[in-house]
Amino acid sequence: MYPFRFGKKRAYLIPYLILLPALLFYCIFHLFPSLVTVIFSFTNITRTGYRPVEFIGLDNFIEFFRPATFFEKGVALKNSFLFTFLVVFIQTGLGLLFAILLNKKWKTRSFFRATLFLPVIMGITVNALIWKLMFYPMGGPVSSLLKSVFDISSLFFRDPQTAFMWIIFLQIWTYTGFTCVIFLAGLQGIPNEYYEAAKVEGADGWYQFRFITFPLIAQALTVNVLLAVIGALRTYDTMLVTTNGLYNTSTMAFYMFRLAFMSEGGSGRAGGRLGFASSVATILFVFIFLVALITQKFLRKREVEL
Amino acid sequence: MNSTSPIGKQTILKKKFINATTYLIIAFVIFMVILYIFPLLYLINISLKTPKDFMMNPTSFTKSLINIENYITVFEKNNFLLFFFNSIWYTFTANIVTLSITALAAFVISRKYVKFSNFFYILFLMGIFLPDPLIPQFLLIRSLGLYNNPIGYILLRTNPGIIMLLMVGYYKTIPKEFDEAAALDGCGTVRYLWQILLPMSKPIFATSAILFSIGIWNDIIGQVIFLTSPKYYPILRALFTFIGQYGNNWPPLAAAVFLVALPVIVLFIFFQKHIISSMVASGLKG
Repeated sequence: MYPFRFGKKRAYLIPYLILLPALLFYCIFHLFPSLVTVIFSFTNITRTGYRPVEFIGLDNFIEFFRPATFFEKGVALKNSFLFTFLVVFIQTGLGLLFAILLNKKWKTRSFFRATLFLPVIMGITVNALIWKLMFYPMGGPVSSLLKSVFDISSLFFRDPQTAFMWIIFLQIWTYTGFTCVIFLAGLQGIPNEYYEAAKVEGADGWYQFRFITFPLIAQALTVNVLLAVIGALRTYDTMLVTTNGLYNTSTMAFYMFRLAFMSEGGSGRAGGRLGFASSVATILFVFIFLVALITQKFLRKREVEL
Repeated sequence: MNSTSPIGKQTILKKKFINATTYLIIAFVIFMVILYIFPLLYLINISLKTPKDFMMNPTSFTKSLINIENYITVFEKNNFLLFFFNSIWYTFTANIVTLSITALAAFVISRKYVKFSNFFYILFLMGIFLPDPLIPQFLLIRSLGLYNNPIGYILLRTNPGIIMLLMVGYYKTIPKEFDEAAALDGCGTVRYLWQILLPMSKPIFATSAILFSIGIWNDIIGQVIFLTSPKYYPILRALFTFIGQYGNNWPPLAAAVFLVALPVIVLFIFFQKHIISSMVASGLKG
């Protein structure tokens, strides 16, 4: 029961009125558009609206996988998987390693923790520009180093062979701090007595990690993997600010963005194909859903309650 | 004395382990200095060089630490103050609206004062997994006539989403007995919310505001799509256009990048603990 009185009658309505603004904002501008994306993926709606909108069933999805024009989408699909796999794997690994090191007591560790986290809040645009400057091909620090040590010259974000790898590097550089602080929160929740008991038993570092640390931070691991997968599959701002999707760096998410909002929508066709772009967003959603299910199934099992 | 006693063995093991850890920490520090600290210092260094000096030798140390010519260029030629002001008022307005409506809704959801409160909670949670809403959002804002209009952008950024999850979590820690006691004393809804709940919500408001502001400040996609006139540009959108404008003339561009990053860095220095813990909380809720 709602305890407060307001005037005299109909007090039971007040909580609903209080809820309403947030609910409306959320439904109109976020939930509803998300669901409409799925509906759009069965239509041929365009940005300019030059033709009436029709339901075309699964045509968009069939078009996506049609072999004759699959090349470009194939690159995007392959890149999405490569990006997600490498980012999740390296970011989680480094994040865990750094979290363990930052959880030890040593001077200036809080300074390094802050430095590692800083790119998360500086945002991808600023980070991309910092690294574009580092990668300046005409005598910037990284290119000078590569030239003098390995005798390689690279155009970095303008090099079709390696641009995508540099984007992956930038993504990991940006978000490792986030993964790390989630692990740190998990590590700080482990009581010190566990380690002391282990030391008395003579368990070495590896055993302590394998049998105490790892099971007890499994929840943080699940969270990190899940967030990194969703984040990586959905990322297109990183490509937008580095290569604009050129030089073989398009991913599914970026392909969706380009189909919808750029004047040239791929395969030489005009952009603004909102229906087709929505079908790409829907395919991505299916991937995310599947990964979430798999992550739940495999990682949740390992979790141990404290 | 037996040198192979378990205690002796243990100390040897411990020593070995400490050594390994120490090496790893040293490696980590070197890694951080090269990959995280150096790029930032290099950015500042370039922003203090003259364009000519940069052309001659991009990696050299700046000849003058007080050469702020590039910063003046950015402010004078590029209307930086306007963009700055835009960013601040979008962030501020979206913050006020979002925090107030979300706090109210979180209050009734956390207390189960509405039927199906769990359903509403899950509704707000779902947003994290559902498909990208960008395309329908674009059509919606355009059909409302708010495309390329700050109002449209602010409406779109007014998003209870993750803030709702954080706030419901927080209000669950304030006992329901508070409400009942207040109600018994004849306190009305408005007075309770304003005089009792609001002062108690300060920490969660701080956390949410930080999280939310960083999100808007860095929202390059939304700014690129929904704000197309330069007079409406927030700072990040403006920075994005500088890339084309300055090309390879890095010193002024580096100054602009540093100016955009500076408020975030300063905020981070002051509220480091708050920012990190709010990010962790949002991650764990998701």
